[in-house]
Amino acid sequence: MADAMPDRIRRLIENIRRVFIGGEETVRLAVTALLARGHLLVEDVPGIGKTLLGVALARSIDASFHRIQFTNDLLPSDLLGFSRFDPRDNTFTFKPGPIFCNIVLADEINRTTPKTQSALLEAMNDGRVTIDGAAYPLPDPFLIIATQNPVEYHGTFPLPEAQLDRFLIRLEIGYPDAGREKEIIRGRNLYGLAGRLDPVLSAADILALQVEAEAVRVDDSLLDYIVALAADTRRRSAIKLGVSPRGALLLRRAAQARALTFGRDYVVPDDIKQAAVPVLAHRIVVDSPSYGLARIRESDAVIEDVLRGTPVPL
Amino acid sequence: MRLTRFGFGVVLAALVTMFGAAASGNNLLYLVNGMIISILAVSAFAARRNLSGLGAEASVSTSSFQGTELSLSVLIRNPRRRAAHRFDAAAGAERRSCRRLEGRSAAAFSLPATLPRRGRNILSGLVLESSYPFGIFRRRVDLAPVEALAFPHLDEVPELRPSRSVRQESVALPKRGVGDEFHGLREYGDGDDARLIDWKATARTGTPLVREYAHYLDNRITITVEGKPGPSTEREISEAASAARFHIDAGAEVRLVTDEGGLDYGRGLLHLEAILEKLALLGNGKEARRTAFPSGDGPSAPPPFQAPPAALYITAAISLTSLLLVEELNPLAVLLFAPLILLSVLFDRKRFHPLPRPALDVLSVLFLLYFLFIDIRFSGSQKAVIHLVLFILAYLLLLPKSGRQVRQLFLACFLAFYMASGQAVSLWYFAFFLAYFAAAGAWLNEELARTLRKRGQPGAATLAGLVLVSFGLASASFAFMPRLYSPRMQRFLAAAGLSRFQAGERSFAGLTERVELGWMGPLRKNFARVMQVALPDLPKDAPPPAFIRVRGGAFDAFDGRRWRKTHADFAYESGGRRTATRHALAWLRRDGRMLVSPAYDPTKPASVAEFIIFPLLNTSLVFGLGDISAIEGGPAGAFFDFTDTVSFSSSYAEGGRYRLLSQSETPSAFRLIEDYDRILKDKYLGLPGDGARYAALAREFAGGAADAIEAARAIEVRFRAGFSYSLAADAGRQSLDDFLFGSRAGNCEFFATAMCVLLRAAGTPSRLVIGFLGEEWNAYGRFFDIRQSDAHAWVEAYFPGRGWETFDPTPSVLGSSRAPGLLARLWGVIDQAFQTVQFRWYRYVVGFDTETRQNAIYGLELNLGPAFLKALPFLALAFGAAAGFALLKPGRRLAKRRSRRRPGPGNGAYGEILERLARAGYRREPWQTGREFAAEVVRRSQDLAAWADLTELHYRARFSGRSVSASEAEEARRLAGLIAAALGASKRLHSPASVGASEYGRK
Repeated sequence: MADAMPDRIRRLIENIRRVFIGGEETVRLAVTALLARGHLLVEDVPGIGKTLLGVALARSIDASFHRIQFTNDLLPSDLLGFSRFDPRDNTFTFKPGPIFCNIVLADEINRTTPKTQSALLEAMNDGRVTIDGAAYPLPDPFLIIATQNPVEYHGTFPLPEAQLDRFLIRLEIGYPDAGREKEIIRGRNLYGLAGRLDPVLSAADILALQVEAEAVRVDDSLLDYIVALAADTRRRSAIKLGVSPRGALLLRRAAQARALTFGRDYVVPDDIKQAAVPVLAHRIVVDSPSYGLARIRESDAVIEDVLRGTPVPL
Repeated sequence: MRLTRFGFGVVLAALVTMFGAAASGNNLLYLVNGMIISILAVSAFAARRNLSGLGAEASVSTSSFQGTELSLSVLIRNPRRRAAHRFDAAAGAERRSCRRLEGRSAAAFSLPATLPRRGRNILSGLVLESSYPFGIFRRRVDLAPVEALAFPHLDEVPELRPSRSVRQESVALPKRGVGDEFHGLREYGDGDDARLIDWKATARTGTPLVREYAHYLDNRITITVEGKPGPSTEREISEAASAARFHIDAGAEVRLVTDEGGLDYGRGLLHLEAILEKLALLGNGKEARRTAFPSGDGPSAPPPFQAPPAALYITAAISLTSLLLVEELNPLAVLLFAPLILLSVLFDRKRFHPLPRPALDVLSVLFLLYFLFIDIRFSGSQKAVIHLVLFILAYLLLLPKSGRQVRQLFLACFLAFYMASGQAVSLWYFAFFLAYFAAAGAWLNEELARTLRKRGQPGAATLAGLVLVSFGLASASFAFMPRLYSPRMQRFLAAAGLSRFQAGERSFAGLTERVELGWMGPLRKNFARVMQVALPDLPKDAPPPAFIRVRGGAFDAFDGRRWRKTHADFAYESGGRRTATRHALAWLRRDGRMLVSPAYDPTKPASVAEFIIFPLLNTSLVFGLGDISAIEGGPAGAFFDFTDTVSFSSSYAEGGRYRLLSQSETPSAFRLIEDYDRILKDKYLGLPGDGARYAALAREFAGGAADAIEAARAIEVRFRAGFSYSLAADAGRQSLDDFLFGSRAGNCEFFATAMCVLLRAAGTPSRLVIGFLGEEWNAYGRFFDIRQSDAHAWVEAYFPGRGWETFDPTPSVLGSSRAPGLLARLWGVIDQAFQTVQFRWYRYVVGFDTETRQNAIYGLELNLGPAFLKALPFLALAFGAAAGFALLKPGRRLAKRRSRRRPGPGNGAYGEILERLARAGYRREPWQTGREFAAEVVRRSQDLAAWADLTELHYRARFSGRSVSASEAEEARRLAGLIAAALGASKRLHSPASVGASEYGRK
């Protein structure tokens, strides 16, 4: 297993990249979130292939995929499901919502009312959906890829920062480079291709990999490093609210999962460093009146500054 | 670049020392002046270079509101190789200081700023300031102004008030499922909430029906504002902005209408930003207007001293101790003040100053009165002034050290040191000189203090270079500053006690009346020039004689301690006639322009010597080489006496100049004296006390000499070889018998007296002669330079048929100690070397003047010319090597950092190579992971690609928890070898290009 592991994940990433135009890092972060049992928040402009990512990932691990477009009149029941009243039987039957699948793309989650947002977030947190008193478990593996458009806040309900930490990783995809963009507009039907991708791993494999991720070795000095990073965020005056111990724990999990994606069974400092911004930047509250894209940039810059100010174990 | 207030004081000090030096001719003051001038020059140069080439970028990080504080981030870049020291980034009253910015790195500061008006502001007045290194010059570099946009000032709007500018519309939009107004019933559809089912209606109709609610939006706001400048425009714009914020926060849709266009309905924070921006640029907000930063209270006030730096106490101690060099001062008076310094340290540490200020002020007044009315009269102006300075020092040391007190203390220390410079001559002065300037420099520049405390600090090389350059410049200034010489000024300053050439006790002039044993020792320390003796007969290329013996006067009566000249009338033949003396003086005859001795024969040849006597010698003796046959020039009238001492009729206080003709080596006028034998017997054979011992010793020294003259020569040899010449102070306090039978070490008058006494005991008439022994030949001016310290005493003895012969029993070299033993001899060598250095110090530094300089340069040209040319290539090579070494060594030392933490178990090779890389200029920043560092190294040099692999191996060893396999270890060693080879092959110096560390903090 140890020898097959690097190969498999590498092939998974390659598979996804056949249709997804973003960089390898993006795919790796998505896989990291999956292996660490976390969720992904993509803050990016429309039209850069978030759906493709979800589809390709789902197909590669032979899992189900749903895309939910959040609008401002979306109700929780549209998301989770509802009990349908059947007048013939005078009974209620549960019709599961689109959230019941392995990989969910919650598109433009900031467009919907807080009520629906909280329904989604609670589902993410609990791992099950409770409707009318009955609990319905969500599938395993379960990954939510939520997206926010950070530029346009027109008529939106942006996720408050306190809720953002439900997501393990926040990333931006960014525009593709010229070569890739040329490929895209060359006109291959990427969506169709994505739908026809062959699976590389099975869902059971993913579950096993998730267990393995927990077992990846983390050296003591690296734990010290993570703790130092968290402490630094709490100490700085530029950060109103620093990283909580839960955030530090999640960073460790993310680093472990990331190490696994490289085929290693031990964490190295680079894993932590490269996972730090995606994991921590949305967990802190910067002391700044800015909002939107500027705020994201500031949070990233602050975490990068923290990284620069903390000595790395060698 | 401008002088700070302190710098102005330094310039003043330079002028004062220059005036003092020029007026008094005191070379030590020239040295001090040279040092101050060089410090000024070096400061100016360093201050200019410190900030040159620095780049700065200022930007405003966030959008801000009028009147609220925002953060201005200033990035200072240092693209040069050398670091920038101790500068501030200042915006008006706010400053941020940076102690040191490494070369090729950058430092970021954040300064608060306020935008005073709405719209486009250009913030100007951002400067970089530095008063490095010594706080003498302040250099200011203006930075480019920063443009920032200020949103209108927002007020809290307490309630929703419709006003002229804010209009509200309401629109009813039913929203399904949410709301409080009942809208209607409809059929149940998939996804409807079960709670909405209206059971009553459902039961009535049989199909599930749900209630539908509607929510009415009345949140559409239009804000209208005009931007034309008017009396209340700003207030209206501010109100509009506040209203916009209020409504957007409430979730409404807001539309902006202005006379310069508008914004359509929008919602959310981004829309608010757009509205604010539009409002900001409304009307005259579009014009960019310059605003300066609000300035503080003028130029930055110097920081209050928390605890005075140690350098303060050290400088005070050095200044105080340097006063010990002033010989006239009682050492006790100075040492009494030593505990004051300790007291001062104690007081400052405990922050407890028990002496109240009024009490000290009363004390000051009392002391001033004492100084003016008692001390000056009692101790003399010179000592009184020093007492005053001591009091000022004590006063300031005991006060709490605020900024002003510290500055005054600095000045007082300088004054004390200046006084010491004005009156010291000892070689130890040089040590104090170095110590004082080092301590004062450390006081002014903390870094210098830290460098002096422990070497190896970054920037040590820079400061060491600064120090060296300062001393070099000071020496050059000392050597080439013109020396003026004004007799009138000399006398004035001598009276004020500030002149080294004072007509004090210890001057040759004091010897013309009597010579006392032990008197001539202190004369060795008086380096005032007394005369110049030129030999016009000497051919141009001929070498001068090794020394000249300038005869002054002779003494006949010795009482065991003191020599005196007795008066004796005599008759002599002059010009064919018998002449008698009156008042024991025999006047020289005037012959045309000359005054001639009775023994003068115009037909016989005479050697000529020219004498220039300097003022302040204050004697009337006629000095001559050999016999004084005729004198040309000089004041009218001269006479001689029975001791063959010739004097002018008046002393030449203003200096004198005369030519001397000499027809024999030894005095000859005595031959014309009648009844000379009687004089010989009466005057030249007297002995103090019991002569038997002396006679016995004379016989012993003479050995088996055949006749009197041989005996005399033997005695002379015995003295020269068997006794030692000593300058020790106690050697001057001994008695003659102590000298002869005990220590056998003393000064020249002891030797001369002893030989005289022995000769007299043996029956040979002899007398003590004083004069000067000149050895310093000035090749440029072609004269002998004679100073007070050249005063000498020797012996003349009379032999029938031969006349008076000259003997000099003083050994010519400083003898070593009599005690045997290696240690004693070593000490003797050291002592001798020290004495030599001391003499050179006296001659070439303390006694430096125009003639010395000319002579030195002339000597250089003459002697070193051809030798110098031959040695030039070697010298140039040596200099180039030294310069290259000096340049590289600091560079390499700069690249060396603290040792890295040793890596984990399993791979020592990694750590070793890491160190080698660091030494080669590849430094790992603390925040870089191993891989990031490896990537950078490989990027900079392809030859080091093996480092990346070694890093991976190290990672595996370090973090995997598995032990290193043999093959992995082998591979590691191989890679290490490759890298070491690659490093060894290219010894090029790489400067770190990363953003380095810099210290900064708030002031």
